[in-house]
Amino acid sequence: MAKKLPIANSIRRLRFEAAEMTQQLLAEKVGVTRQTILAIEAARYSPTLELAFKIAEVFDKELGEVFQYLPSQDDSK
Amino acid sequence: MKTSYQERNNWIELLVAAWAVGYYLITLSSVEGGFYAELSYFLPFIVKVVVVSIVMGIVLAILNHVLSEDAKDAKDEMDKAIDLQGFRNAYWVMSISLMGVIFLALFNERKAELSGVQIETTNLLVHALFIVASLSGLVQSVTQIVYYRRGLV
Repeated sequence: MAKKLPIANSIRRLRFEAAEMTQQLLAEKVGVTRQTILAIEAARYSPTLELAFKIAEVFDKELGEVFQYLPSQDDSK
Repeated sequence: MKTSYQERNNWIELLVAAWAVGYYLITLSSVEGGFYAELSYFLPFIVKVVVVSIVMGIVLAILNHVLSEDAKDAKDEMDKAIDLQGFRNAYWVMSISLMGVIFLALFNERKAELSGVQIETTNLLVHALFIVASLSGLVQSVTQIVYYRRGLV
């Protein structure tokens, strides 16, 4: 099974709430490819801080409402 | 399988590198004498493989550009990160392999004394360096494709 990052996100839900915005449209708004949005949504790629802020700005949300840090058991030791 | 323009470019690089190393090794094994054959035969062959690889790569890249709707997409931050990771992997493969080639060349004469089988050191270097260069290209393309499929985790 593919590994996942310890950073969850609510992009899929936020897209749904934003009139079912497509990944392609979000990608165009923030200046990346659709594949990058797909990877971020699936927690397979951690975006730069700049891109994370851009995504949050599209949904008019705070960064913490879009991305959530989930430290693993090992990290908390 | 949905792929981006940049990922398809990686597939093209993989195809070209695999063809080059495959064609080279098949020819090497089919030529009388193999590794021991005269370099005068191999030098034009190597030039041919390199030139055909470059031309093939350019033609396929142009086709990809013309046929892709997303060809206008510039490399974004994930593409650049994957590029860097793939390049780093290729660098390690090339560095370690080159060390191997250096030792192979250093001990070639001694090995010839022990085994009685003589391979010219120049022959050895030409073949080994071509294979190392192709191998590192293959590693770069394969790992980049894996990163596109599995993510940069």
